[in-house]
Amino acid sequence: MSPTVSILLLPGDVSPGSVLRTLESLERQRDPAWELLLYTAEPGATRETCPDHDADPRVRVLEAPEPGGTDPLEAALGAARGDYIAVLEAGDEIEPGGLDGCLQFFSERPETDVLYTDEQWPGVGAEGIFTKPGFSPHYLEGFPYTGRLCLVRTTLAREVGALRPEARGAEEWDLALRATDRTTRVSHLPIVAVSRPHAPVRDERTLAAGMFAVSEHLKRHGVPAALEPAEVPGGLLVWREIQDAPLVSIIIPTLGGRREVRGQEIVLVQNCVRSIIESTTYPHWEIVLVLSARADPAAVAPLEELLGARLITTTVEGPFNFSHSVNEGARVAHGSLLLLLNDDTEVIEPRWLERMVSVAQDPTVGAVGARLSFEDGRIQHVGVLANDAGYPIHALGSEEDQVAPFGQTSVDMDYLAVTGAALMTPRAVFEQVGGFTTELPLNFNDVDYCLKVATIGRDVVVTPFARLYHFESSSRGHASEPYEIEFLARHWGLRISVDRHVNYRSTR
Amino acid sequence: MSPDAGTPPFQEWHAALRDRDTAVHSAQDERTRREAVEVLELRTVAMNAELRALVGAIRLRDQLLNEQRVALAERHELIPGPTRDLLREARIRPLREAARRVRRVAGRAVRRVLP
Repeated sequence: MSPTVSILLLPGDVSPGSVLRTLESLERQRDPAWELLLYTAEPGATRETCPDHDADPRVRVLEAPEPGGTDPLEAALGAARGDYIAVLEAGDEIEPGGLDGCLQFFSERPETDVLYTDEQWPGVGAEGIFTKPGFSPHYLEGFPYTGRLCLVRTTLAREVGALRPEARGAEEWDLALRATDRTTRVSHLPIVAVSRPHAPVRDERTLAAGMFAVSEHLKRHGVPAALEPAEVPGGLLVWREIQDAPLVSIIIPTLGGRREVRGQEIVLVQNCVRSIIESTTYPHWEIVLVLSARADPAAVAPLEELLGARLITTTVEGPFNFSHSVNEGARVAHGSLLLLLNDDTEVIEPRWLERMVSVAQDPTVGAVGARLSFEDGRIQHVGVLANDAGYPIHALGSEEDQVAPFGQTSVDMDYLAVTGAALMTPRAVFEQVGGFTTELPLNFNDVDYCLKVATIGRDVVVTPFARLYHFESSSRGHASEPYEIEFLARHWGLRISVDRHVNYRSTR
Repeated sequence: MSPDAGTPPFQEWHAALRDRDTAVHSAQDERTRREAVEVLELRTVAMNAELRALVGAIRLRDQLLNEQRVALAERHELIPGPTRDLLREARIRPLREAARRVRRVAGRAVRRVLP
């Protein structure tokens, strides 16, 4: 038997016109397996809210509770008869076929507990079209990205105590967090199933409600953390409490190269290390310089004086192999956290390192990346995902670095991989997956590493708050060799072809 | 500062990483073989659902087009007969005029050539 869906209308503007728009959009669905629950504006009011639909038993107009009585939305959840519930606002319209597609999905995957879709609202360009990734738990901690339409199994929603009045203004975020705390059967259907009449409201009230929802989620997991508003309206940064300030070993492979930056020729590794010393608030770090045999000793000599006991140096022989250099750096490092850093980087955000350490405190995270910017400010890296051809690419690569509407440049997001130019990983994870593969000396070794990390059940997360410059053009060229592509395809082809972090509907 | 004596020996460290790396890749290859069908099946389920949604959208478009067609036909019926004739004449007259002009030009050309 095919499942049924109960649509609960949020209290608020339930004027007849807006309710009718929602209702008519439901009636356009081919599958009739839905019901709409809404409340009259006041206790004792009649069905005037929905005058033309008296005869339709699927429209259930409930009388508003007395002030101080049961919360309307909670009561609607209690009254829902459908197998799944979803929350809409009066005026939202289900796109033709939107609900049909979801019901089709449920009929083939009845074990699904949570299913969410893409959505849209009026906006400039693509700013009003929210094409979402597959389930991304760290993204959901910082941004209510599941939005609408988000269908949750009714029994699960009741079990987790969802739609409580305390979270009013972020009740859907609260519901998504509570439900996904309990189940891993979460799917994303890449169809635009809902059109809202306006963008989601992101104001002080919804921010406070969002903070409540996320702090409750963290409490449920026993995670001591502080919350901070992110750059994107409505977004949050979760600052997990850093336990005993672990030592971070910053591993920098270097040839001691020079290049012109801001009109001046500089020694890259000196500039990089100076920026760490001058601009890093996190106190507990050491630098591991991995020198190539042909590195210029004069380039690193001043660093010995600058860093003293904080500096460890080691030298690798043979042709340049980034993976081998990283593995060698890890060998001599003392820290429980390893941070791979290119020598052509420079710190921008002083709290960059504590941000990365804070994210790495999450035991579900195996690799943490940063936001890297070119010298001219454009984005070099906020995460790596697969393109249509199954080739790893930088998300938002070379775009202007401005606040992206869905938080990609502001809040933590899960990705297929992060660049090895700035990658933090617990030493234990590094050893467990065998470090960087020396079969890939130049390209894709970071992608391979992150994919290996995922095989042990750890997530790969970018935290854009941690921001550095990456003067990348000074690095080696990017042309990948056929054997490198073949290596990726052989081991990871299937995994990359179904990269859940990318919405294939929006890139194909 | 040079690496201190507490660090793992060079050869053992790199050999251990290499062995672990090989093992992780082999395990992944095995997982790919085992899970490929299921992964692709899930993609098919999503595609079926997308298709269903698209069919729903197309069905609505067809319905709207049909409503437009019926509305046009009804409006046409409401137009009185003489008006309809005038409208038809207005559509046909330019075509007749063009055909007449072609015939005139062709006739002049033929008459000029033939004695």
